[in-house]
Amino acid sequence: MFRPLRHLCSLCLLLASGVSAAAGPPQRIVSINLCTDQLLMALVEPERIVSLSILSLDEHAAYRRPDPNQVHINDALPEEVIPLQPDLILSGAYTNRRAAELLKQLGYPVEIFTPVESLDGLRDNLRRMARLVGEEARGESLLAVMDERLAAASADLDPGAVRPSAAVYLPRGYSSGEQTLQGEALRAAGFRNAATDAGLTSYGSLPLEDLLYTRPDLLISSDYAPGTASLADRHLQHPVLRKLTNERPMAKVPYKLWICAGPWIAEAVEILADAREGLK
Amino acid sequence: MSARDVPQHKLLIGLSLLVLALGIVSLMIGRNPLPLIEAAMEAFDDSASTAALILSEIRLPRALIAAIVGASLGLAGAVMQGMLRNPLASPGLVGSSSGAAFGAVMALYFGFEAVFALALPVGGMLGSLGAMGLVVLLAGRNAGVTTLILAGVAINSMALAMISLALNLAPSPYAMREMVMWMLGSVADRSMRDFWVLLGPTLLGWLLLAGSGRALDALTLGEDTAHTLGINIRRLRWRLFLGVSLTVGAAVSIAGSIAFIGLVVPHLLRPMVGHQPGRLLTVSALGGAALLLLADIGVRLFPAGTDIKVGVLTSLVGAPFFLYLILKTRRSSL
Repeated sequence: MFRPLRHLCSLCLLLASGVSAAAGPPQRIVSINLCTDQLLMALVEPERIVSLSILSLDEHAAYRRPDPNQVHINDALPEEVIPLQPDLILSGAYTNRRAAELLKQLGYPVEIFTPVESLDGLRDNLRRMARLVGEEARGESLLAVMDERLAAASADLDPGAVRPSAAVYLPRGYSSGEQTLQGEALRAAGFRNAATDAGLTSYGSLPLEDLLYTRPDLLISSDYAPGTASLADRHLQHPVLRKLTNERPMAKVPYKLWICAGPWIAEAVEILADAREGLK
Repeated sequence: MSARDVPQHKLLIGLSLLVLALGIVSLMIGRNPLPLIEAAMEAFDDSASTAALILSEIRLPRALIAAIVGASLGLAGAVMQGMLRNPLASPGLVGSSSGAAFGAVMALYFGFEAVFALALPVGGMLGSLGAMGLVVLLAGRNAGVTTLILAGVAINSMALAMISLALNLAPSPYAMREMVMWMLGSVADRSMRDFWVLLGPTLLGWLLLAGSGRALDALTLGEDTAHTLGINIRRLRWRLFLGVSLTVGAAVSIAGSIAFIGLVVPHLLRPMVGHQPGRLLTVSALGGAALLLLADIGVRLFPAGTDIKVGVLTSLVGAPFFLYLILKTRRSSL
């Protein structure tokens, strides 16, 4: 009995969203995913952002954090998002899949961003976001600045010389191969990725013995939840890791610089390039 | 004296050689073949070559810790079975393992290790002592098999619940996933630092337990008879409790809760010592060391990538053995 009524509502919403889309760039943007939060904040002025996900308040995961008094913070629940009357909803591909699907079914314009593992993918995602929110020029300038910084970081590299090797080593032995964001950052900073020697192409756990055989010159880690204790953290304090690099401490790159793909990866590359300088 | 009774010195030498042999095999097994002699020579020369590092920093602590933890568990099992005069008593059954795990979890995840280097084994010891005390309190002094098992089940469940709660409330985001390690046990990727932390409290515990052989022999004749032989039952009990909680507490705090070694080893070796609890102590320690080394070797024979915990193997062997024990007890009570 209610079916025609429901269809009518969906139709109305569709028309409404269609009408506002035709009127210009979206004015009421909602993001329910950490990485789309970050890209959005980089491109769009706060007045057009209606809601961001709760992870954007996490000081270790979020590169840029909003003022919770100025913007609504959501837990990615459709019942929170709908009353905000969004004209664009941004979501990641893996988390909150059902929420995104439901919102799409209800007729809202939902754009899904897949996490990328390369600099090219980063540029594609940024350009796509910039197009959606009507800030193409801003997007291009952000990319231009990023490319400048990346070039500067590897400017002193001698193309013929052997690159020093480094391995990302996180709690529980997690490391990153070439086809990851961290792998790209390592390469851009002038390192050879030691994890590749151990046979790792993407993300994965590297047993201690395998890591030792690759003999990296430098170990890189990211502090997640610093100041807490666990077996995983204890594993990272294994004395052999220090002996492996001749007592050289691990280089620390904040998680928030490479957990989401965005122009801020240049900062990670700069930290790594400095670490490479320190090796000489 | 049964036909299987073996002279004590032969038993000790044989088992020691077995432990040594398994220890050397343990040093050779790993993800990559290691030229053992070469690596050992490089390690002595203090060279930082890959082989030397792997041998001295990864495989050596692993073998040493497996031997010590196995010995502690075997010894504790023999002591508990002698003290409670109950063939089913073991560190796992009377709650000392899970109590130790709870104490260690509290010490690690809430930051005490940063302040005090020996926080882990101390936490394990306090947890173990507390849990065992509760079991004895619940079961009463001359507890029968059923009462003891029931009390153990109750305290084990409570300890498990407390461990889950503690890991859930712990500040670290990695805490919950590490529950498996605490419940199944592992000696992988331990360091020499872990070994030194483990050694002190363990030796202290072994010292307390070592001299109790004669008292345990006397105890088999009954408490009153033992009393007339000059054994101070109360002091003995305290000494054994303390010794067991030191050894098991330290062992579990470094390697997690490894099941069944304290149950299986004394049973297997008891016929060979003529069923005398006193003789069983050292023999059980050596047997425990051998068994855990064997299990740890077995764990590394699985295909790469499968991160099997050593407690899985000991459970696979120990649980059927436990069932067999129950069946045997049933048959004999008919």
